[in-house]
Amino acid sequence: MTDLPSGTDKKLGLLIDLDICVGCHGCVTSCKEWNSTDDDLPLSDFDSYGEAPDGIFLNRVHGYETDDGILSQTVHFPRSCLHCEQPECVTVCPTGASYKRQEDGIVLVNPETCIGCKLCSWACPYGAREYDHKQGIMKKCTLCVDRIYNEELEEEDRKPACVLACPTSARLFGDFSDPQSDVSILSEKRGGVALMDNLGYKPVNRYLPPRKKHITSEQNSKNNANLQKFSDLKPSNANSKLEEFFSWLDQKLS
Amino acid sequence: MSPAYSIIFFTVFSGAGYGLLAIISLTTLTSLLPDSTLLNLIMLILSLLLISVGLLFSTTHLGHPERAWRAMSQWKTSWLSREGLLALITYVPALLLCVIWTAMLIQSFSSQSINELENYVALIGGVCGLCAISTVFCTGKIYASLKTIPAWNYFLTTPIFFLLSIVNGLLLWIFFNCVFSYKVNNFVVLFSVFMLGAAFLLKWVYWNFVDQVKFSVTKAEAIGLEKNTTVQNLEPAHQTQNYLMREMGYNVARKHALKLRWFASWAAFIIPGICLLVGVTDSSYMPITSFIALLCLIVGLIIERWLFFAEAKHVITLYY
Repeated sequence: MTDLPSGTDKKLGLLIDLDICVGCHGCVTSCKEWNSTDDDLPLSDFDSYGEAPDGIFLNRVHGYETDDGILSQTVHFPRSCLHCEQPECVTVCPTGASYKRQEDGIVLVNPETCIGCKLCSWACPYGAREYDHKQGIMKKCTLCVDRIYNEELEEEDRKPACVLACPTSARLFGDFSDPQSDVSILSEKRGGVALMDNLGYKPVNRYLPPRKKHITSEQNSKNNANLQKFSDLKPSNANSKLEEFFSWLDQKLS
Repeated sequence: MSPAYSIIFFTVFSGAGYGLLAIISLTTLTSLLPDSTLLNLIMLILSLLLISVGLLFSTTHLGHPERAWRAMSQWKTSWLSREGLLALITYVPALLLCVIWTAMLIQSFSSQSINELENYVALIGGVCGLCAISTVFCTGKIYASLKTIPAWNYFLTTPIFFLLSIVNGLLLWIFFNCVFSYKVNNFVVLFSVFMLGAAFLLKWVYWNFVDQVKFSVTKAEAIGLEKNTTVQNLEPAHQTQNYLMREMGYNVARKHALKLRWFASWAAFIIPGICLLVGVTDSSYMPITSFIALLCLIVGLIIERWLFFAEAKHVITLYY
């Protein structure tokens, strides 16, 4: 049913650190690999070697240049399902194919009952759902539900593929309902952000904003002044007649 | 939002069908019901045809049309499910009316039982009208309830859907009455002109709103930064267009939108209004003017519906 559970026993989700994500797309490809291998319903690709290759991904990494007036920096932003507590993608679903699990809060799509009406993708503000037109159904992040409880895997491998792949450990997986979990503690300490919270979907995943680089505007203008001075400098011997002669000679001979 | 032709045709045709059905149903409650049972029956069948064709169009945009029946199940939370369910329920009283009118027409019963049947026409008609109107209301709510698309998440979205459907029903009703050489009551025609005027006004209030509306979040907030941080795209997440950009990223240039708004205004509201008024002054023109009015209205509504989608911006465009 698309009725939401009144509460979930756990709130499994991801904590993504924007300060250390380097935008390598490792999580993107490992997600695609895990969710397409040994599966009757792979994440489809279209026109893979053609003019406009396209395909379904459950995770995408955007690169932005940001400026808060003090510091301008590059921010890499991985975007995937945030497993909201109020997921409208679930409540708009006319068939009950979309559902939120009571036991761990994971939002899933049942591929057997999805009719591919795409309304859930319209209802999601994060662009977490993509339509697989080869299979005629919606695809979304499962938080690797087939990994995290998989007893055939070693204990340390029971984590989402994106988390295991991240070379900088910018992604952490855990239970946000437990205040003692790593993700809760770190999120609390670093001011974890719920994206677009005012829209009211109550996302579970949290993003850690880039750390303050401790550059005050005074310091910044001093830095700029130093840079200016540096660029005003000319090579010390630029005016030397001898140098000019050698330079002329060099050009003529070469 | 991408203007999918299946949804444009569905909302226009089914809207017209439900509008006509609502008008037929309403007339069963009043003295405006045409005396000709044949006319009533033909209009009723036409409305059901329009509804059915529209519903068939809507299933063409599904990935799995054969599973469409499942869409009836989630009426507790989903407006789309409610719309589907009500669309099906509406067939029950509508088909009952069809049966009664057919029976009256071929006089297969004794005159006494026909009189008895006639007593039920108003009751069934009332239920049928309520179902038809509720279905259109649900269609409007599907769009109006999406917080991700501020242009739709507006209190006028549903009333406009409702009004346009009724207007379309009225013009169909007037046209068919003329075809069967029934004199249309001037009250109905003037009421239609009034409804056209109201729809015209509300549509421009809506368009004005669309021009003003902004997302309640900034690009910076979309990626977890402080509200006023400036954010520029640096490295795209993918090099070619994907589903999200095609479905949600469609955007019509404002210059073209304005032209199309005026085109839709003339076709859907102004010309039909003038045509009907000409028909009121001299009812001998009514068959031809009501036909022109109807034709223009349908073309206008298709443009209006296209704009409804093409002008609506989805919040995920902040990421791109």
